[in-house]
This record gives sequence, C-alpha cells and structure tokens, in this order.
Amino acid sequence: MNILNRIDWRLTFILDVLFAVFLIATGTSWLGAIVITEILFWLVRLLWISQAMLRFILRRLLHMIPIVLAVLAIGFLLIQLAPGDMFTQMQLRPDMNQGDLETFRRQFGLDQHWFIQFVLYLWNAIRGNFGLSITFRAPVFALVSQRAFNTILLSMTALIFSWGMSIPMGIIAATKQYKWQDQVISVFAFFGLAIPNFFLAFLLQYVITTTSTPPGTWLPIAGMMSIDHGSLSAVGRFFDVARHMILPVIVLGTAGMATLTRIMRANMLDIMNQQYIVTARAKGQSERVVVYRHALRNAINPMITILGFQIANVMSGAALTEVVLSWPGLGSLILSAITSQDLYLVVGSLLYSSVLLVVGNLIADILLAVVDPRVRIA
Amino acid sequence: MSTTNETLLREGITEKPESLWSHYIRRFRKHSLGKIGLVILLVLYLGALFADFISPYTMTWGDKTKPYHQPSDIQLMYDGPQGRQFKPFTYEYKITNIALRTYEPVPEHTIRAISRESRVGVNGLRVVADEDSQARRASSVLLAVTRQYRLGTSDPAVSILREALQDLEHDPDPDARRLVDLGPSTTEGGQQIPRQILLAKGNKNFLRFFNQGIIYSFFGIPTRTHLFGSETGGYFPIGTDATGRDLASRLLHGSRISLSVGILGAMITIILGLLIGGLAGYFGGWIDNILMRFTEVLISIPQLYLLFALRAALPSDLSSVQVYLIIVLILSFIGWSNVARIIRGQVLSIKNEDFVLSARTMGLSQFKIILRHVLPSTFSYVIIQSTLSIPGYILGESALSLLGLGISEPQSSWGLMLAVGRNFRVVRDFPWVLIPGFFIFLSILAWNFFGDGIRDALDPKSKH
Repeated sequence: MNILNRIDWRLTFILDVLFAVFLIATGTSWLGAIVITEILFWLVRLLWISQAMLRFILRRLLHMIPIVLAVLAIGFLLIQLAPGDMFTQMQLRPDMNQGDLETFRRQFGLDQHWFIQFVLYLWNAIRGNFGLSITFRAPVFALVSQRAFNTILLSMTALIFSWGMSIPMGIIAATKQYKWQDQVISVFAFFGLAIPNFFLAFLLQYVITTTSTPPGTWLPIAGMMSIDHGSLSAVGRFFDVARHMILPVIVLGTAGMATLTRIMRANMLDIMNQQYIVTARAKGQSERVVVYRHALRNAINPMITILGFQIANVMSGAALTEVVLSWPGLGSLILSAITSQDLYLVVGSLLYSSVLLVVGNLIADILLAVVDPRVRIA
Repeated sequence: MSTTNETLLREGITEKPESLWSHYIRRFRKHSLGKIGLVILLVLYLGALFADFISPYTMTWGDKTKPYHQPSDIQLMYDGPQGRQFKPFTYEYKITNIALRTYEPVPEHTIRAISRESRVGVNGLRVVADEDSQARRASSVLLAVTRQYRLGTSDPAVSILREALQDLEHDPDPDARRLVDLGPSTTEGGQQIPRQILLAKGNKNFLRFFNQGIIYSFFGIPTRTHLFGSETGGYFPIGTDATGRDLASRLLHGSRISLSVGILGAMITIILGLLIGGLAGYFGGWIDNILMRFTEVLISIPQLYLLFALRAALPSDLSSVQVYLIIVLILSFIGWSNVARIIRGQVLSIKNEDFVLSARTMGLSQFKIILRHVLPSTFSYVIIQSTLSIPGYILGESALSLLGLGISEPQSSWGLMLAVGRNFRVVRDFPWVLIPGFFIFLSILAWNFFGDGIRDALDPKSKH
C-alpha cells in the first residue's frame, strides 16, 4: 500500500500508450489494442481508486468463466446433435482445398472419440478458433468478429436512443399525470410495447417508399452502406452509415423505449410522493429544481438495474431487425449460416453473441455498483 | 378492523362472505383496459375456432388468375330491374396488365361459369367469358367445361349446358343466374359425383350471409356454407396473395397456429418452470446448485440466437404438425429459465412458513407437500406470468415463420403471411399484404391489456 501511495496513479496513462503501441506492433488491430489496454489499465488503476470495486469486478469475472464454458458445451452439443457430419458436405465441394480440410480435421480431432473432440473444441475455442465456415471458406472467428462490430454499433445506438427518449418522456408523463401529455405518452408506450419489430420495419419501409419518388428514397430503407460508400471521404462515410442507421435504430429502439418510459413514469411518480419532495417544495424551491435536482436523480437509479435485461432484449431484437433490414450484423450472419447448414458458423455466432451479452451484463453490473454502493458489499 | 366487523354483520343477515374467485373477478371488472383486452381476445380466439365457417373460402383455395387482387370495394345499392335497392355487391375484376398487376372490372355482358365441387379439396373451375359476341362467349365456356370434365362433343351434358347458356343470354335480367345440373359422373373409384355448374351473367358478385361457396370439412362434416361471401366468388375482403389465395381466409386459418402457440407454449413453460423451480427451491443443496447454474447459462445466451441455433440443429424436412410442435417446444425450452428462477425464490420463502412445517410434522410425504402446499401458494404469480409471457410466444412463432424457419406453405400463419413483406417492392405496390401484422399487433396488445388486468386483480401490490 505504501508503495502505491507514493506513485501518482495518473502516471499510468503514459504506460497506456506504450502498451497499446506494443500490441499494435505485435500484430493486434488498433481497435482491439486500445480496448485491451484500456481494460487492463483501468483494472490496475482501481487499486488506487477503489479496492472494493476491483474485488467486485474480479469476482464477477470469475463468475463469467463457468457460464462461458457451459455455453461452449451447448454449442458443441448442437454440433453433435445435428444430423450428419459437416465433412461430407465439405468434401463434396470441388473448390474446397483438401489441405485446409486436413488441418481442420486435425485441429478438431473429428475422427476421434467425442470426449477428445470436446476437449479439442474447447481448446480451440478459447484460442479464438471456432472452426471453418463452409460457405464463406474462411475462419469463423474472423467472420463473426467483423460482423459483431456492426451489431454492437446498432445495439448501442439503439440503447442510447431509447434511453435518451424515454427518460424525458417518463418525466413529462409523471409531472403531467392524467393530463393529455401523459395520455399520449401512455398510448404510445402501449403501442410501442405491442408492435413487433419486423412489422414496424415493414410499415416504416412502406411509408418511406410511398412518400418518395423513384428512383431512390429520401431515407435508406435497408443495408448499411450506399453503393458508392468506398469512394466517399471519411466524413462522407460516417454520414452515409449514420443515415442508414436511422431506420434500424428507430425500429429497435421503439420497444425498449416503451418499456423504459413506463418504468420511468412509475419511478418518478413514486419519488414525487416522497416526504423529501414535499420538504423541498415547502422550502419554496422552484418546480424545476424539485423535479430535476431532487426527484430525477433518485428516479434514474432503479433504471440502471433494468439495463442488464435491456441488453439481452436489444441483442435479440437486433438479430431480427438486422435480418429484416439487411443490416450486416451477427443476426443476419447466423440466419444465413442456418439456411446453408453451416453449423460451425452457427455455433460461432451463438458463442460470440452470448459472450457479448455476458460482458454487457458485467458492464451493467459495474455501472450499478458505481451508482449504488450497496451492490459492491453484497 | 372495519372489514371484519362488516363480515360479521353480513353473516348475521345470512349473506356469505365473498369468495376468493369472485373477489378477483370483481377487481378485474374495475380494470377497463383489461376488459377491452378480454373482449378482443375472445373475438380472435372464436375466429380461430370457427375459421372454416367464417372465412369466405378455404385456406388453400386460390384463383390463379388473380394474383395480388386488391381488397374488394363493396357497393351497397344495386340498380336492378326492380329499381334501386339495398343489395351489396362487388364487381368482378380481371387482370389487365400481368407485370403491374392492374385490375379492371369485366364488361357487363360477361358470362361466368363456376363449378360446384362436391368433394373437399378439389379445386373448382372458374371461367370468365368476356368476349363481345354471344357465340364466342358460349364457345369459350363450353370449351373450358368440356376440358374440365373430359366430355365428348356428343355428351348429353354439353347440350344441356348449351341450352342453359342460350336461355341465360336471352334473360332480360342483366344479372341472371342459372344453376345447371350436368348429371353425375363416375370417377376411377366407381363413385358417383354430381356435376353442377353455376352460370352467371353480368359483372357483379352479390354478397350475402350463409353463402354457399367452396366445400370444406367442418369438424368432419363436409359443408359449403360460409358465414359471408358471394356464390360467384371474386370477393376478397382484404385482397389476395401472390398465388391468388384469399388473404382473409388464410388470416383466419393462420390465427389457429399463431394464437395457439402462445397458450400452449406458456403452459409448457409454466409446467417446466414450476417443476424445476419447485425442486430447486424446496430441496436446495446440490440440486438447487446444478439447476440454477443451468438456468444462468440459458439466460446468458441471447434468446433469438438460441432459437436460431436450436432450429438449425434440428432436421428441416418435417411435416407441418412436427414443425409446429418443435416450435412450441423450442420456445418453451428457452422461456422456462426466468420462470424457474422466480418460482425458486418464492418456494424458498414459502417452505419456511408455518403451514409447511405443520404439514411436515404430520408426516406428509415430500412430494405431496410440494404439490399440495408449496406450489399452490405460487399460483397467483404463475397466472400473471403466463398471461404476460404469451405475447412473447406469439412473437417468437411469427419471427421464426417470417424468416422461413417455422411454419411452411401451404399451411398458414401470421408470420408466414408477413414473409412477403421482406420484399419492400411488394409492400409498396400491394400494401394489404401487411394486414396480418396488424393482427399480430392486436393480439399482443390484447394479451398485454388482459395481463395487466389480471395482474392488478390478483396482485394489487405489484408496481409496474
């Protein structure tokens, strides 16, 4: 402890850059290198900032291990369950490199006992080798991680959208209880809750296509990039993707927005009836201060608990939205893998998506622990 | 205290205290949205039960000459020989541009011949003869009928038909109808089959209740009575699909699958959840540990991905009944983990209650304690949870069918009907294909309303 106290933890930011450069130099992609270094170094910095927090995070990380292993086991079971060996299908393809097949067979020990196969499968999966995709003729992991970025981009934007919309709407509904604003928001929330993602997507596509004159529509109705995306400047590319993202984000965000608005409204109403709000009003504080300083902060706290559930819902919803609006993410990848019976790809995306979900839940828990000290102790 | 006094008073005047059920029902009645939900659900489920009778055609019957026919516009007043009167009808349309699928009403002098099949599942004959000359019209009808029934030119049926056509053409009524009996024919099996042809003049399809239309089997009895429709066909309340099948009929038949998946799935889920959650909560120890770790794993996989992966591991060449059962099983396999966790929590707190302890001291077996004392206490939660989880199953089935992993043709389900919507050009040009989506929306909304009402009635303390 004494040594730690003598060093200023802000100095570690210098090491940050050095470590990232080292990783990039040894062959990691720049995005991956930054993510890895930031995670590692923030864990180290927690030693100075809050050791209780560090213990909490480490405990949660330990909890993740058996879950990930079990998901791997389920994935392996699915591969074993499926009728036939994927080999027969692979060998029938004349354009398949027989040498690749041999390495693959050796890596996964497909001609051996299922137990050895499982151990080999685990060993490969831990090293990020989920096998080979037949249809794309590429390693599954590379395919999946490339698509996962798009899914994360879409889900995160949708989450931000639904939170950004639902908190103000919940506040309005609660402060104007039983007035027309509240009624409109309640009706909207009920509709948003009941409308299926894919149906909303079809309706919006219909509205956009009928209100625009061909050729072209005023808002992209499918896909992630325009045809001329490659020839655009960096800023142009950014806005191109952003324009394509509007429709999927609205489709995906609506359901979450509806639930969150209802919860936010209930929370706010609960808080507004508390004694300290009465006290604040009695002190003669303006309604603005009462709502935004005293009520809002306490009403948002329980919302963070919901974030964990929200992440699971958004990931599932994203899969369907991706398929319907042909957004090139994990969901559309797994569907195309299913239709072409590409089982290793199916299981690879299943594993990757559940790791994403587990990590997402971990982040939600950490956020909760930051906000609510009771969680760290329990 | 005042309530106890009231009950005492009531007992004095021979009035029974309110039972638990009537208490729940009274509270549910106060919930107006819940009542609306219940009414919508009753209508939807009755529609599913009597789908054969309510639908104007059958699930698979289609007029191949009418792909993407627009929803029929009903004219209420008819200017007939007896003057203007209330007699709803729709015009008979004919495709004029196959590429753009534009339709126009057929001319007034058209003669139509519609066969009345007496066997279930036989696709009938529909001839629309809109040629200008009377002779041409007669010959095109005759040609089609002789082809359909493989008649020779000297067959007596042909002359009967020719005379009937002559008679019809000279009828002063511009919308005359003739039912012509061509006499029975013999099939390969040696069965006698009556052959009847309905001849209709004019371009109007008159609508009426208890219409005699396409033959179907109603709970095993062959009948041709449909609640509403036109005996000359050509009436499509919400249009047709790519192969000219009536969307309203397919919507009604599809509701059987889409709506029953929810109830069946929720039932299986609840049984699994009760069993596993009850066992884990009651016995604790290693059973609890194993079961709860397993639910944790299931919860940490995104549901739709798990749904896809499970569907991928199962064979794809299955009959429609098998696919239906597999969908229900997969959906409930995914859904039970949340229920089990909550049931476990409840059982954990209930098993330390006094009434469980006294049951144990009286020597009741463990199994009976769980079944008779512990699980019934979770009853209200189970009811609430199952009504609120049904929308998820309806959505799951539609999503699977929409993506081609669920129910397949020629069966019908709302998700499958919406699958054409994935092509935005179809949606742009023929927006009525989206109507099944409104019904998915409506059923989910109704289940949500109903579930809210049930929750408020059974568990007034819950915050939502």
